[in-house]
Amino acid sequence: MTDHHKIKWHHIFSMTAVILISFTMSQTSRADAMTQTRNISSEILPNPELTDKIARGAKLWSITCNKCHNYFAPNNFSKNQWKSLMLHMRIKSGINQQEMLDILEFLQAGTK
Amino acid sequence: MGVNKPSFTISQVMFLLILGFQFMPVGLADEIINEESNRIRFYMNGAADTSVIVTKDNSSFQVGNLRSIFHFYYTDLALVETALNYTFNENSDSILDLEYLNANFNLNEYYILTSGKFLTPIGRYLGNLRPSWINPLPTDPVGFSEKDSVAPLNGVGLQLRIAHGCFGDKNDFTIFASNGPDLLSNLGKLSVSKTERNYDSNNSKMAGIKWQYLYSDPLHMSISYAQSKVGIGLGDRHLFRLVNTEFTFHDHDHFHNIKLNGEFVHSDLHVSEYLKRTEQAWYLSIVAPLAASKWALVVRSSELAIKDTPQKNNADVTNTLADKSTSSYEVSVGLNYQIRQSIIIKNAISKKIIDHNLEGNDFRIQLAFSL
Repeated sequence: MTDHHKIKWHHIFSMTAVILISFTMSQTSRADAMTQTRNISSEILPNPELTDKIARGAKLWSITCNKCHNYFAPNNFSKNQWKSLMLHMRIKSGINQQEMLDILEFLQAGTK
Repeated sequence: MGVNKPSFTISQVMFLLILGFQFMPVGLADEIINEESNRIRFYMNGAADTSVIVTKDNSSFQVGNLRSIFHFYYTDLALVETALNYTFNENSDSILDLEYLNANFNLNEYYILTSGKFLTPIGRYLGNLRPSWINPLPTDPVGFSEKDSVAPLNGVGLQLRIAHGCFGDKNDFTIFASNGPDLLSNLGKLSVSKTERNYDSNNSKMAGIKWQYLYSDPLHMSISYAQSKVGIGLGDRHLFRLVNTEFTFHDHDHFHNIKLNGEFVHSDLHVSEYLKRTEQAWYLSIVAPLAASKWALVVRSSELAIKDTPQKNNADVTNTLADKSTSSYEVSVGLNYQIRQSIIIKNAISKKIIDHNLEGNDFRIQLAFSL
């Protein structure tokens, strides 16, 4: 077996070891986002339609918005900044217009 | 020798599509268009990185690049975006590069038409994962960097994105046509240019399609195909084809938030009936967050293989067209600290093997941030 193949196999084993080790320790950063979602929802309960929209947006955000990069919490940007960023991200991520608007509703609800 | 006919079919089809879409209803959310203060906006952001590189023989401080991104939008009908890269390279030259400049028109709920210079919609790494604040390691995988990419990095043309659900799940299609890449000749060796020009010098377009499977949390995958006829000027043109597949696996609720990414790309260039050149690259990376901390462990393997293969047994050419191949293999292990969502410190050690010879290790510390 050449050095090249030996090194390749060593690295495959190393990657497997990393997976096994990290099973024992991790955290999900989505938990913070879900907490923020519940807090946002409880503040605007009187408007159930808006609550549904924000809840849909939160769910889409949690499964879409860290496929490439880490999550950005809603309070990272202003409402107008989120508008521009979501138009850009709609193209990058492949979501449709309604999904973009739902995520935007969620993000803008969480800005200061 | 016949006259080369201009390859205008793809362009004509795209032109007809654009004409047709003008008659489709444009879906604008009323609540957006009625807000005067949100009608027109200009927004600027960007990213930058700096590094320290240590090898066996040398250590250097390096500035990566500053990427300025500008967005100009009119409600959600149109978005113009551009990215300018300011790079200070290893030769200490300052280079300004237009990475992309395009206008995006929201045709309706599902269709977006993009016109201009865009990142090639082939695979995922080149279009989405290359920025230094997103890439979990300080280097690009072999076969996916600016210097050795198998696929063209960007294109000048038209692109249509369709975010439709079908077969009960979320899918996204992209079809594009752009100025075809040029054929380059370097000491008799032919290769395909990876940055498309603002002028189609060989009058032959590149056309491609990408299908993405989305929102099946935790799996995301895509398959892409593109082809073109490449040549030097208006001389003989040769068939160039590209296929790419990639996946991301990231289950937030199980597997302890590990993110697994992989991509494979293959291209072939039929230089003549006697010679075919193939380029093939893949990478596989794992990002594993550690405990309740901002630390993450990253491991990535990547490989690039380039092969020139004689196609026919011809006594006159056999000696000069022996089966030649070159390969590069790299493995990197890194430990990252996420200071904030947009600021990351990466520490990584990489080992590279080129044509079965070990090139040595290098250790890098990179500070990357998005603005």
